[in-house]
Formats: sequence, structure tokens, C-alpha cells
Amino acid sequence: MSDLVQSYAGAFHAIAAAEGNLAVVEEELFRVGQALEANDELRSTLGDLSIPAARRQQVIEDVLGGKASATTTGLVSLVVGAGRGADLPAIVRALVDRSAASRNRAVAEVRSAVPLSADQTTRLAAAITAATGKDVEIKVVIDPSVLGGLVTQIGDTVIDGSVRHRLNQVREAIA
Amino acid sequence: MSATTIHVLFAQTASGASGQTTAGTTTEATAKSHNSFYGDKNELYWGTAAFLILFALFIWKGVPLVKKAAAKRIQRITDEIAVAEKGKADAERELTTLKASLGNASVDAEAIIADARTRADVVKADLTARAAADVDASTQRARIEIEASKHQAFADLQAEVAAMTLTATHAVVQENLTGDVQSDLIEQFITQLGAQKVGTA
Repeated sequence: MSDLVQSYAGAFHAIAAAEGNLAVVEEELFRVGQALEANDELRSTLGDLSIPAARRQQVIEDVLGGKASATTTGLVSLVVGAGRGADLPAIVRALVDRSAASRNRAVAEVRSAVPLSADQTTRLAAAITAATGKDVEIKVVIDPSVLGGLVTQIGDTVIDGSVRHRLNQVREAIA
Repeated sequence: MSATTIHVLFAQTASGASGQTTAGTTTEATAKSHNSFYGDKNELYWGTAAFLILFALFIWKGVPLVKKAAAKRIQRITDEIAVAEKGKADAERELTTLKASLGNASVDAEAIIADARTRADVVKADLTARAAADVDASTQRARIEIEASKHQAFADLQAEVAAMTLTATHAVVQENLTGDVQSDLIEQFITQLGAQKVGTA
């Protein structure tokens, strides 16, 4: 991860902490990052330097206006205005890792076809801790392509218990 | 006819004429001195002499010339005959040579035909061998291609069946992924994950 991304992540962390809503901003930025990763056209538009900065920032205002905190909107607008829109998912990931690390925890990104209940999230965190020996913070990503079950990624380790994975295994077995 | 013979003839003619003396003495005398046929004796003598001279000249000069011309002609004819004989001999020699050549040509032709037959047999054997090799190679290639096509068809069929199976499975799974099933899958994952050890980077 480049120094630039880490610098932006550090700045985001400092600003959100200073504003006193780090958890909220972190969660909102995580959602924005997921949305950008899932939407190539939006990511391309925000990273297109031939489009005036004001126009790109207006897109952010239109997408996040009223749906995210002013701090989150401002931070995203800042990055997009600086022409770093394409780096936003990496910056957000670095921010999440930095925040978790500040609490001596690792980030576990969990992909599921359906939302997890609070109880399921808590028990999943406990199960991951039991399996890996690390305290983790769960970041749930709703991904219909998973079909069913869960895909958990902690750092570079992926634990795939999804229906999609089982179907792929069936495909490989009979192909 | 010699000069003596001519003189006797003239004499007989003159005596014949004298035997018919019935016409008179004057007439006879006139006939003796002015015979238009015999002319004057001098003329006769001179004529005879001139004739004899000319005859002698002819014998002396003309006959050799005639003989010479005849000899020349004979020589020419002889030469021509010799040339013709030589040409005939040459032609006969040429004919003999040609006949000999024809004989040799016949032998050569037979040798060429025999050699051509031998070569043809060799070429035929070579072509036959090549054709057999080509047939074997083609057969082998065809077998390989058939085998490959069979495998490909089987693989295509297998892939098609797999795709159909997966499509059907996917549809069935999605159909059955109700809220309860989703929840059960998540619970199952949590339970299994808590029961195992996973190394992380």
C-alpha cells in the first residue's frame, strides 16, 4: 500500500477522531468504499481527471447528500476533488485497518447474501477469534453472488463457507 | 570408191554411148567433144584429182579428228560409266551400312525397352511402397483424429452436462435458499469456524 494511501488514511482517522464520530465515519466510508469497488463506472467517473473537480464533487454530493454524515461527505469530496477518487477504496481499507489496529484488533471482512443479526455478528467474531487467536472487528458486506453462507477474509486469509464456493467445487468435480 | 573404179565407170559409160552410133558422125563427134554430162576430160581428171586430194585430206585430217572425237566421246562415256559405277558402289555400301545400322538399332531398341521395363518395375515398386506408406500414415492420422474427436465430443458432452447440471443445481439451490436456510447456513459456518484452528498472516 503506497505512502499516499496511508497518508490519506491517517488524515481521515485524525479528522474523524477530532470530530468525535470515528466509528460512524469509518462505517460510512467503508460502505462508500464497497460501493466504489462494486461500481466500475462510478469509480471511473470519480477518477477521471478530464471531468472538472467541481463536477466530480457534485456527483459525491448527489450520491451521499443526506445519507452520510457531513464529515464523511466532506472527506470523500476532498479525495475526489484532489483527483484521487480511484484510490478511495484503498484509502478506506487502510483507514479501517488503522482504526482496528488502534484498538488492537484485526478487520474481518464478511461477505453474506443476507444481513447478519447482531447476535450472529457477535458469535461470528468470537468464532473467528477462537479460530485465529485474533480479536477482530466484523465488517459485513452484502454480496448476493455469495448465494448463501459466509465468506470471511482476515488479512490475506480467506475462509469460504459460501454456497457459491460449494457450487464451484461441484463444477470442478464434474467438469 | 577408188579413183580407178570411177575411171572404169566413166569408160563403160563412154563405150555404151559409142555403141549407139546410129545418129551420125557429126553428132557423135559433137557428143565426144561436148558431152555435157562428162564434161571435158581435163575437168574430169582435175575434178577427180581434186576429189582424191580432198578425200586424202579427209582421210589424213578428218578421220583422225573423227576418231579423236569418237575416242573423246568413248572416254567421256567410259568416265560417266565409271562415275556411275562408283556411285552404284557407294550406294550399295551405304545400303549395307544402313542395313547394319538397322540391325544395330533393333538391338538397341530391344535393350532400351528392356531397360525401360526394368526401370518401370522399380518405379512401380517404389510407388506401390509409397502408396502403402501413405495409406498407413493416413489411416493412423484418421485413427488419431477420430480418437481426438471422440474425446473432444465426450468432453463437450461432459461440459454440456456439467453446465446443465450446475444450472439446474443453481436454480434448485436458489429456490431453496429461504430465510431459514440462509440463517442455518450462517449458523453452520459459525459453528464449524469456532471448532477449527485457522492460521492467519
